[in-house]
Amino acid sequence: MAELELVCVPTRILTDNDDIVDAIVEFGGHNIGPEDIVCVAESVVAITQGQFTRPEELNPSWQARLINRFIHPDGSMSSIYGMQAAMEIDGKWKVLGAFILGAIAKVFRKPGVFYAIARAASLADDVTGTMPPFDKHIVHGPKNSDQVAEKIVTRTGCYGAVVADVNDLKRSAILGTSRGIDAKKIAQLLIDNPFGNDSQMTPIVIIKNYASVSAAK
Amino acid sequence: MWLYNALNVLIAIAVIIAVLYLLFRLFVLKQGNEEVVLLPKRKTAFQVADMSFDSVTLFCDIPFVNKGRQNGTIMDLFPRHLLPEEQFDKVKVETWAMDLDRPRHDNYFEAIIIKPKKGGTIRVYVKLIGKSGNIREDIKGFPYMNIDVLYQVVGREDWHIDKARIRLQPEEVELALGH
Repeated sequence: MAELELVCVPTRILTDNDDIVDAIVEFGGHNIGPEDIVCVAESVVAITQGQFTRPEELNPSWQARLINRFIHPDGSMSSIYGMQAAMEIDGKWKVLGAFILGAIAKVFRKPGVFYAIARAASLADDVTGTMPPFDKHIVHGPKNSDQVAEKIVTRTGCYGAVVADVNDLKRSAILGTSRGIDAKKIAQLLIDNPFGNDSQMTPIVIIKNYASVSAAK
Repeated sequence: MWLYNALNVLIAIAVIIAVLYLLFRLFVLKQGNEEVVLLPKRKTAFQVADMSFDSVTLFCDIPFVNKGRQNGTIMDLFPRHLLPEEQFDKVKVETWAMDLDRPRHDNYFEAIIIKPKKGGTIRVYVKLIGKSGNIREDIKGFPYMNIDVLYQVVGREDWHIDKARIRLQPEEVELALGH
């Protein structure tokens, strides 16, 4: 009986000159079957979509200068440019509102409200967050993740596809899926971060035999 | 009367905003910022890394530290050698730098986060290439050469560029060449 297997697909550094679906076909196409799930790292999808900016291109607002002071120093939003980058996507008033609501929620011991509302803040990687040459950029979350996943399925003929945000701290989130894919199940399979710490070098992971193993359970 | 009440409300709002702003500034003052600095006075002497008939490559190490109370990120860092042809015209100079913890030789400086009160070491390379093809001959009469190390830092406040100056002394070159 077939077993689940996670296969990492190394690529060259992908940039905004690349198309993520073309890259998947080029580097992993020979290994993708009709029972497989193709998982792709969200930061690389965002980079290929040109979803990044440089601190030098941003003019921090007073809202960014205010809020970043209350973010944990290790968070991407602790830098005014990371915060401003999120505000460019979500809007500065929305992020400020999310911050105020998040602060009130914390009083009632409900963490995570800020990032739940300000989605761009939760998905942004600050400077140093990605591999060179994007280590000097702030990388946003990807756009239209579901559509990207559908395109992957159409081009490769795989069973399903997901855009995943996984890190070494046992955080695994699925940002987009093709139709019929259970995001929670896939997130659990990726919990050990098979992409590796530098996900730009192995931005694609194929979950082999997913369809038949799921059907047997 | 209504004007008087409205004025009172406006003044109260202004005072509340002013007090909140003052409290925020005090919080910022207490929280502090990054203060990433290179320490050129503590640089090591230049040593030979590589030598051939036509060139010599030297290196020195410069410590850096984040003296501040917040994380600081060196986004970019590069050396700028200052040897105008009016001063000395017998060698071509190349310089590059890297973080000693993440060695690389492509002259690309990978951005790094430095925690408060932590630091590291920057290694600066200088390659002197003799224009006649014989470095031992070409280097004769070499004066000193200043090198500015420029670094771009970002933290909780605006990014900024600083520079630290080191100097390659003629004695160090002579020693390297065994003169």
